[in-house]
Amino acid sequence: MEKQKKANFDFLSGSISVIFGLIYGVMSYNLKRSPMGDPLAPSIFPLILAAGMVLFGLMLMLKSDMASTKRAFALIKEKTTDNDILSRKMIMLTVVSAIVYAIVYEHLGYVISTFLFVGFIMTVLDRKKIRRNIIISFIFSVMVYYVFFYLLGISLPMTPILNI
Amino acid sequence: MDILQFLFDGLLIAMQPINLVLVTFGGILGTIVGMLPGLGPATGVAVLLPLTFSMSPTGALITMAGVYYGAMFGGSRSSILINTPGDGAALAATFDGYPMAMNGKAESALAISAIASFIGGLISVVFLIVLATPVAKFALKFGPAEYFLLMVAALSMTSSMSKGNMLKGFIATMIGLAVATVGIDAQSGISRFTFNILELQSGIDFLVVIIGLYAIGEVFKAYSEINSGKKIQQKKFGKIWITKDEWKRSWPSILRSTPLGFIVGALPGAGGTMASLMAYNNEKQLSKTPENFGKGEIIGLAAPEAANNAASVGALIPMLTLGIPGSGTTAVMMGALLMLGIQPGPLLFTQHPDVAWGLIASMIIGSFILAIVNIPMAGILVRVLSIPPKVLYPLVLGLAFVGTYAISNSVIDFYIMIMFGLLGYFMNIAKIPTAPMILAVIVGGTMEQSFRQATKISNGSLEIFWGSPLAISLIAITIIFVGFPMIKKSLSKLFPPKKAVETA
Repeated sequence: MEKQKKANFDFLSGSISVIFGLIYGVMSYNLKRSPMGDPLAPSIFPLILAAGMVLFGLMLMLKSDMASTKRAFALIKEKTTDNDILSRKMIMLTVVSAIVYAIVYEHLGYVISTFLFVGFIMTVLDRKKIRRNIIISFIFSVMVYYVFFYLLGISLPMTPILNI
Repeated sequence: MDILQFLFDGLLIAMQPINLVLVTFGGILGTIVGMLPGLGPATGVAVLLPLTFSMSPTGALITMAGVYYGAMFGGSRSSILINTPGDGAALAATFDGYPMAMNGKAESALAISAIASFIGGLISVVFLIVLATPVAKFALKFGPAEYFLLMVAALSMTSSMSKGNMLKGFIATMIGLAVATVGIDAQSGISRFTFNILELQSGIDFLVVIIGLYAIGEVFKAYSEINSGKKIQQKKFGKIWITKDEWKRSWPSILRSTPLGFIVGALPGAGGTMASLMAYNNEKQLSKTPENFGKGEIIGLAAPEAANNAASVGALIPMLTLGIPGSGTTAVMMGALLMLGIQPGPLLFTQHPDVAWGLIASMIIGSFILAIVNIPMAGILVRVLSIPPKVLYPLVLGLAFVGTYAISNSVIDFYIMIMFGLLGYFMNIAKIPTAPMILAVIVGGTMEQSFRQATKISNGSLEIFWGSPLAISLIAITIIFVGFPMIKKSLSKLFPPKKAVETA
């Protein structure tokens, strides 16, 4: 590497660690006191962790500087290709659909919700082959349900109305 | 000898037809998951773990051993054929494996990687058999204070050796430990950090964290490559085997790399990636024709593959005998054992020798079966690589979710898993290692308990943490490992390396 100005997220990571450590520390201190033994016993270990987060976070911040983080953001912006934008979109859609999946999971039952979820993600990744996606996600959800429910004896949410 | 008796019993159990079916089944599934770029043994075990929930502990152990080995074999398949390692440890297999495949020697490459893995794994199991009991007996001398320090040492080693810088490793460790404090405190009954969410009272299950960080996080990472469309070039293979000449050239390097890999693997934090890279560089330095390395030198594939498998067995030593996993993958394996109600640690070998040796026996059987599966059937298995990842990754996501639900029967864990998946993705961008966090989540509970027990014994005084020679030596080890990267840095400034060793 040539003499380049450093670009990293260390300053940001460090400050997140410090903030998280402070919040965690305050919460640890405010925990209910233990009714028996040392009243602070449940808080001590978390307090040590909080101190560690703040300390290591500060050290990381000092090793780097805000300018590097700014450069890192600029670098990402500069280097972003269409492919990156696409993959970020995919991640966002996956997260959103996973949250929807979690919400409907116990209401629609395993088979229907999973069929929709897996089918949707497949379509997000590959828009052109909708028929293939429908078939595969249907087989997947039915097969997994069958394997878990009947072979492994693990109950998954049932399909409403049909009750299977 | 008791040990041999237990081992023999274990072998007999592992060789029962049903168990052979299970290990083969686990092995094939593991190979398929392992072949997916980015998904290695850790993810394989985490995602496929729910399959074992209704099995007997023995059956489950055997299946998991199969998945573990299978994912390792699978990782190098994709290294060789599409130049994309399944996980870090399979990285070194791309250096010469892929050029070999490009030179039309894919068959030899697939065969030598399986053979080297097999030999490396098998010899290491012998080392494991010899070493496990003495280490476990030694560990029985540890009191809570020593145990706490041992975990501190293991965690700092992992942080100091993981890629990126050490501070970030420490931060990841602290956050992992903090995750482990969520839930009702077992000693006082006080709920901590549960935000009044009922499901959080029993704590955040480390398997959910693992599946989130590894499976979901890795799939997110893989999205950026999904569109680049790396495809398997060769779909038809001849007989997958090596020539006599190739064997003659490779076996010394396999035998040299095995002990190296085993030792490196047994150190917490070092793991397969480092072992295989070290073996590769080692062979390159020993070679009379180092210029051939990187161009399809068979030794350059045999050595890291042997070392990688040896390391994975070596890593079982701290996990099984001390209850402290040394790598992400062994952490997941430990998670699998805990799930089955087996607590790894010094007591495992004295109180449940049948389980301990049963696991070791199933690893032996597993490596035989996987070698059989992977050599003649490699041609069929690698067809999986021609299934588009755009189909496979959504299925992995589907498995991750159903696995999480099977662990806890609660949808709350879905949200936690998604959160950790995103966290893993961002940690990767910020170059913060995830392995220390996983280890911390797993050992966090025990670590806090030993800390509190120790301070209780000493009536609150911290002196107990340097009150015994054992404790002092553990502190010394920690300091050395934390200081080591700094010393190395200043040394390399004083003596600049002659020639940068190629690692990419």
